[in-house]
Amino acid sequence: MSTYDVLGSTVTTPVEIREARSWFSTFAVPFRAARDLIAYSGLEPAPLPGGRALASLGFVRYVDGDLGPYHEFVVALIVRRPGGTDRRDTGAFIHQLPVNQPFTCAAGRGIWGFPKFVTDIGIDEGVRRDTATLIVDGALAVRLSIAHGVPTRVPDTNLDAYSWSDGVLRCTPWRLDGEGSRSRPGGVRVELGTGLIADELRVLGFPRRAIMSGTMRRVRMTFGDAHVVDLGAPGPASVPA
Amino acid sequence: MTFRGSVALVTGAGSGIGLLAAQRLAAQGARVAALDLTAESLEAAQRHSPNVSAFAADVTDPDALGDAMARIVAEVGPIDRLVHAAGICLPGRLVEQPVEDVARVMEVNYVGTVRSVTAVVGGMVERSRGDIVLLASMAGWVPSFRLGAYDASKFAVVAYGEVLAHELEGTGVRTVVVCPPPVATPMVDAINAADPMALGGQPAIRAAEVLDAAERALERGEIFAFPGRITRSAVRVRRLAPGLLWKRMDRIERGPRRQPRHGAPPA
Repeated sequence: MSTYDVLGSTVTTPVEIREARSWFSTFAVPFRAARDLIAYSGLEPAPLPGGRALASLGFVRYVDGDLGPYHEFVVALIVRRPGGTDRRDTGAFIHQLPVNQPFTCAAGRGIWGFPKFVTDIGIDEGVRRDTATLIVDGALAVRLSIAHGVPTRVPDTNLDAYSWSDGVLRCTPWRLDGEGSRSRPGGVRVELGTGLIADELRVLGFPRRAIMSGTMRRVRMTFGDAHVVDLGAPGPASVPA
Repeated sequence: MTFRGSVALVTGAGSGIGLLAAQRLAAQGARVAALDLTAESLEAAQRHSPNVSAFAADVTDPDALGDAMARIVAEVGPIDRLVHAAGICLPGRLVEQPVEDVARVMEVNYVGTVRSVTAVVGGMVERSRGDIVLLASMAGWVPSFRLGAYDASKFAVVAYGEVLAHELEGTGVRTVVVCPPPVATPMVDAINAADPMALGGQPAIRAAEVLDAAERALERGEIFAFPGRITRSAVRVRRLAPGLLWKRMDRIERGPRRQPRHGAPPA
């Protein structure tokens, strides 16, 4: 447990999200393009057969939590630590993480080194599909539309969320559980606009078909303290930040 | 729908449906004026959200509400969306309930609605845009034992909202009257604590479902939203066969007619 000063108020880890709604979509993208995209972090995507890697696009409506209410758009890649062999050495590398409120932006950057920035994110919940519209610098960057799938069961999840900021790679333990999970194969429409995020996604072959997509109506999350990851050292190379 | 740059006023924003409405609107980028009885009760709505401003006022106090409205318009801006969620419920049997309690419920739930709407509707009509979201209740259609005061106040809100919606047709101002069954909120917890029989053990739905239903009704141009699986059916049964519903409620209230058990020992 640690405390942080964020814009004059105190935030204590683990940070609790008591209610949120999240949407995710998973894509198989070219491994080389994915590797080049996140080479700056020192991490490599977890390889899939056929020279592919897993990318994930998603969005979250945070309703009640320690960081206040806000919207978030996520571009993530499933990665492994270099030299890692067993499954625990994979995690989610958070490559882009725009949000629409300044407090969570300051907290996310300050506490975990997440690549948050403040921009306009609209989430439109429809009858058959839900759509997030990411606007950066006044222009459409990405519109991600996810269809409602069929009810599924999702086990409680413990993930390592990796983030890179100013030359430092960090790993944050991220716990997630919830109810009202629905998913299906495919089910995603991606519309790309202009700007860096759209261009990066084009390099990964977007717009493309999703492997899988879904939503969780009621999500609870916990974010622990970040640990700095030293890629040079062998073994469990984490030291407290 | 994105609310970036628009202004919302949420009454009863300290807890329950009002709190969730304020948090959602803030997340969507609206500037939110959160109104409740005390500034302390608005702490949750404001937490870490720079676009939520707290205003303390009682919706039944015309002077306090007028002052708050003037400050809201000056500090936050003219209101594009009103979510009127302020409301109370004092359960009890009408034959035993003090008249002050019945009047108080009417004052908060009905007159409070009228005062809040009156404070914003003129500006909305002038600007040819605005959304008015009134939290009524399934109790505004389906009356039941032990909730007489609450039922009467919500019947009034339903009638008021229906007429208002028709008056506002073609002005660019949308109205929705939301009629949920019991919702998991501090108010319903308090009702259950005061009188476990009042809600007849009806399961509570989530506040998020209520707001989703309101949003859908607004998009579709429907005056009423009936969140919850059986709400619409219950309302229909009430309209078509009120006697049937009362028979059922009577059984719950007074218990099944006792049949003398065969072979039971004499008392």
